[in-house]
Amino acid sequence: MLEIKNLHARVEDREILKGIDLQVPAGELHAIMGPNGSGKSTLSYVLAGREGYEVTEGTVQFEGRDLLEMEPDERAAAGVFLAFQYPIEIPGVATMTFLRHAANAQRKARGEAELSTPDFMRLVREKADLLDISMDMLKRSVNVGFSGGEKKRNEILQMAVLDPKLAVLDETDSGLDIDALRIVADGVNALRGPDRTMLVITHYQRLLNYIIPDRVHVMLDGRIVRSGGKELALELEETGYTDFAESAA
Amino acid sequence: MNMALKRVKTEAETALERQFAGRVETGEPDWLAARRRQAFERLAAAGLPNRRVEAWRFTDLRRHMGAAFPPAGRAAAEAVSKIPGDNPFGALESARIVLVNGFPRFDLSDLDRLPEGITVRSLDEAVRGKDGKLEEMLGRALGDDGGTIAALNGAFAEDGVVIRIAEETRIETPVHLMFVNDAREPVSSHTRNLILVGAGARVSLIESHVGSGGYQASALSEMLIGEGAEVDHVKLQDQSPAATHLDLMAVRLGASSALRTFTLAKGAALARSELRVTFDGPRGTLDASGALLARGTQHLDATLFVDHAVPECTSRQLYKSVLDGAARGVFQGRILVRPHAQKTDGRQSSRALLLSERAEMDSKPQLEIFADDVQCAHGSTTGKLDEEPLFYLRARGIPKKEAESLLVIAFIAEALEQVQDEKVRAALQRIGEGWLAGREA
Repeated sequence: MLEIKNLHARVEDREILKGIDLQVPAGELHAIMGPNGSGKSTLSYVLAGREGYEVTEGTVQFEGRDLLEMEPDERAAAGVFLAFQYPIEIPGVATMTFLRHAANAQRKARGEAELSTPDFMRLVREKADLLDISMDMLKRSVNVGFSGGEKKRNEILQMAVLDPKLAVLDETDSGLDIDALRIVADGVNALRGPDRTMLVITHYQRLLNYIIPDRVHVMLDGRIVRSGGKELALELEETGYTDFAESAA
Repeated sequence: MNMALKRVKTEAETALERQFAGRVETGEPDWLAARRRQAFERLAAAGLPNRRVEAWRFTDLRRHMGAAFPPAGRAAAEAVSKIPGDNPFGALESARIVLVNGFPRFDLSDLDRLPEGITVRSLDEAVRGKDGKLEEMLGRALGDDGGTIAALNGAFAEDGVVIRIAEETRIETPVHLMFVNDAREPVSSHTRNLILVGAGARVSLIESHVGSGGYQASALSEMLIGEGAEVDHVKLQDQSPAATHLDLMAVRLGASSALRTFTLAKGAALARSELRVTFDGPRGTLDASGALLARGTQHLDATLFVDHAVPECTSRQLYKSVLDGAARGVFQGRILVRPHAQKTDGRQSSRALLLSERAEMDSKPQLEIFADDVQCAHGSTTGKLDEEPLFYLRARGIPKKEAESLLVIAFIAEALEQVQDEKVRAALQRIGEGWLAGREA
């Protein structure tokens, strides 16, 4: 269960989150929809613990633990995963090496034994096949020279390998053609389950044709202005965000 | 009346004069004794360089060398009963040639593992032999004035090794020159080496400079590479934290020959490594790369001079420096393209990564081009670790220090990749990772 209460956050001097209240029970997938600049990405970075995003008020708890007190790597070890809207390129670090370090660091932090190299390779290969990711891609430096679609698939691969309890997907659909979108959506759906909490952030309703949410929240100007079932996304598609801004005002 | 100001000698300079005057005659040939005197006279006339000497602008040797320690002497080197310290390339299959405080200890070496076609002798023995060529070979790569390191070493070095690789020989097993310093009390060591690589030969040479205690070490190696020969050379400078290390490698490259040389420098309080390469014949290639890893108050200097004296040669310089604490790194790279050296291709890149606000890098590229049909380029950057990749790694569960280590290894990887032999490269990478593991959180 993810529980966000009255969350306020700012970047430099600008307040961007102005009192977010949100609960996502374990096993559910919620979507947050909103226009550009509504604070969706800020919320995802605050959850992941990025520097420069200052929380001024409110709390975030995941499975009863205070996320805001934890370093980014501690949050990851506690099961938090953010699929980046713009995955970062890391020249000189092979994707496979990166995955192995991440998986083993998390296991170590949880007091679990590290995976043997063959076991780990098998795991990655199995997940990579489902996402149509080649071994060649895994040997290349993280995201370097990857197409937009490859970068997004790589995010989903990381999620599949790291097996998080809370997954936050930030605009995972942006820049994807329909085939790539389907692969990514299949990857996300395969990970849904009673032990996993998921938060899908998107601007467009399109993704939600493939990933059916349990709940939809509309975010405007740093607040959740309306929540509803999956049909809310369709309604939003028809009316646009402007009507919501008016009804929220 | 002579109004020139007489320079006030430092304590170290006075000590060097005293030590030279007090040298015990070893009965070396006259030509060598004469060169020794000349070297000393050059040193005495110029003194230890300070930062007003352009070539030493960023490395003030005079200020750093408060004292000049007495030469360690042969007796102490011969009293050592086993190789002191660990072999940094212990996991690697190689033929080791061990020198203690600048004196060869063949009894501690793997002479029996040396492949056919390679001979190793002591320099002291070689100069006393009937091989008249040695007088001609020694100093050929160096030229008339090799600067301070050559003068200091020329005045005090008593021994070292002469390595010959026969023409058209392929040496598969790396030859590992272990320069070990064993300083129970403050001493200096000076090693002089000559490496002759016959035409068409191939060889892989590794040098490691290690030791314990407080000492001052100088090493002067000359390499004459014959036509069409290929040399892979790796140098590890991992001297003790209290040591001063000065080394100079002077190389002449024959036509169509190739030298790939990589230096990993991480030891000593102050170290300067000079590389001077002269192309003797057309179509020679030089790949000179390196990594400097420094922390605390370490000062590491890499100074390169590539002399494109003939046409159609290619040179690459690629250095990566990683500086933590209040460490200081220096990269000086000079490329000289002489008037007739058309079709020269010379490139140089120096990049530094500062892991602390107090660390400092000085980079001085120098291109002197006197031919018109050439391609030359240089680039130099200094920066911090990028925040974004660091956050990305941490968001995947990798703790900050480990994430930084991954990014630092990635940063030096480009230079490290110049090392062709995978096993040697892996050994160097492990040494780099060991350095990173020693970082304070």
